[in-house]
Amino acid sequence: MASVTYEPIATTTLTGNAKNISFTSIPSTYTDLIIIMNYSINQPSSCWVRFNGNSATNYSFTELRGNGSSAYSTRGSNQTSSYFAFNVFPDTTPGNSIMNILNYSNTNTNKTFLTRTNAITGSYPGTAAYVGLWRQTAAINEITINMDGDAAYYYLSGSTFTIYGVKAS
Amino acid sequence: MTTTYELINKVILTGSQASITFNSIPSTYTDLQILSSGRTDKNSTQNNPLISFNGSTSNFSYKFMTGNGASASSSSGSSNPINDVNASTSTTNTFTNYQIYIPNYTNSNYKSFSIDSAQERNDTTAYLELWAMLWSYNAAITSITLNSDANWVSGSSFYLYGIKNN
Repeated sequence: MASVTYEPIATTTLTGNAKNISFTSIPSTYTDLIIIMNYSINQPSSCWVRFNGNSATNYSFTELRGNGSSAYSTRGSNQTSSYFAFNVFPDTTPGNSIMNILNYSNTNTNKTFLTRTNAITGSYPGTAAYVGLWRQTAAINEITINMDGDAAYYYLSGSTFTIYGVKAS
Repeated sequence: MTTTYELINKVILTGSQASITFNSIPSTYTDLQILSSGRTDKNSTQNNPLISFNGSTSNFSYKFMTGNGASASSSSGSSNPINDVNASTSTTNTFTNYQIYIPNYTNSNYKSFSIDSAQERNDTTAYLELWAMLWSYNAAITSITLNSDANWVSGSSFYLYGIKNN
């Protein structure tokens, strides 16, 4: 039987509010990962990702965004996480982020990933593209999605996060 | 075995057509994706096709960002254009490639969706665009229409895929 090319690994649909979402025990058998996020948040906060629980300053990102009036670019390096929604993120009306993590299980390369984020309403609306870097060669086996701020900032019930594996062979 | 990424329908034009519609979209997927290569016969270098869901052109809003080879800009509005596509006076035989990704198209929330578009031509100006779109309506999406605002030309293609998360 032919192998499956595009396969869901896990889905989290929030039945209550949550500040972070984790995907653990990610198999190394795929080539790339895609995370589809359709989410709303309770108050303005940038959203970020970490890999394998690594919170050292091994992350960087570049943001290209348009807010409906102007286009901007922003960069952060030597961060403790990489943002996928920095100056563009939804509010209580859902927005979405689509993250492509390429070659996630390759143990010879640092990990780069591309994200598209969209939000129409709220304090930080717009459309944005992000490139992120995790300067570690370890295979990614855990992904944590979180946001800035304390426990008063969270993803709202009904938000969905799905991780897919993509096989090149 | 469940197929995660599945072609629902396709339209490949062998003549001109003002719009294309995907009707009777099953509710059994999680997300939808349209991959298209399109060109219109509007008397211009590019024009903006329009999208509608379930026959409605209302309740759409957008914010988009574009780079034209010289500068980047951003704009917003409360209507339903989707991107800039090659039109009749642009470089011959050149079509715009774009994808539309609609997560959670069946749920009862407003529908936030994404468009990435690459309009290229042998010119000093072409358009790379990123769009954030919102359909402020709670109904599940059962049909999608892409209206060229003129005619889609022969060779334009439209593929609708369903993605299942389980």
